[in-house]
Amino acid sequence: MKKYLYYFQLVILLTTVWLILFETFNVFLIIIGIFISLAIIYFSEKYLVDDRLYAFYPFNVFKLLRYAFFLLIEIYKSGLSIIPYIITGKANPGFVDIYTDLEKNIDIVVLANSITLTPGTITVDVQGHLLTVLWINPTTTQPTMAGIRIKGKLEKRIKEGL
Amino acid sequence: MIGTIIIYLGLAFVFIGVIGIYRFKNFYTRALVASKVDTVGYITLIIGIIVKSGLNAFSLKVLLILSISLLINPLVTHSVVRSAKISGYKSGKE
Repeated sequence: MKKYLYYFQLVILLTTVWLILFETFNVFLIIIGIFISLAIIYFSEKYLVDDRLYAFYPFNVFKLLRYAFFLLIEIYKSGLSIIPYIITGKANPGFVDIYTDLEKNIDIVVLANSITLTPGTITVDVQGHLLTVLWINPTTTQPTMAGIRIKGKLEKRIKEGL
Repeated sequence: MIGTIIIYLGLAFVFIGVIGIYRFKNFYTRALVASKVDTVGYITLIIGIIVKSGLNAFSLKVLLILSISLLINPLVTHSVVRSAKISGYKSGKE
């Protein structure tokens, strides 16, 4: 049941993008869009991922939107906190290692990209559960303390589900 | 009116980011500061454009561009900094 709901939201999402690109909304276009979305899902499962999309990218649109809104607030917060470094001209960037206890690959990818998207931190390397992060002002190089400062809230939000 | 104010706010963020690029000399610091331009400044600019034009097909298209560029932006920053680290740039004090 959950699986059918997943494919339903995927079709809705693809049809919405199709309609936005056309800039006109009528019934004929919506029906064509639904058929093309189904074809896209079928062919990408058959040739691109070789498996069910549901097994690879299980997401929920509403949770994803909630996460995007939370990430937007985090971006603005760290964007404002970086201004003093620019005004004083003093910065001492360095690499720190942090550990994550997320299990799925897609979750680790989302966490690494979120860390890069917030100004002041850039993910340089990922090996298993070890992330190498470039930080503008490393107050500590100890993995657990640095991990709490860099990814604490983000990881908690991702654990609640995407 | 509100849209214009938000666009000017975005331009102010971009301006601060560009000052940062000229102020720092180290590569890593420049990369960290430059990501302010294309996240905070860019998002604010796009939100200003959406507010200014109202809810129509144009602003939906702009929203689509915003979401796609937010997906691609971290990949680009990551690959630039990673290649700099592999070729052996030193990170030091300013």
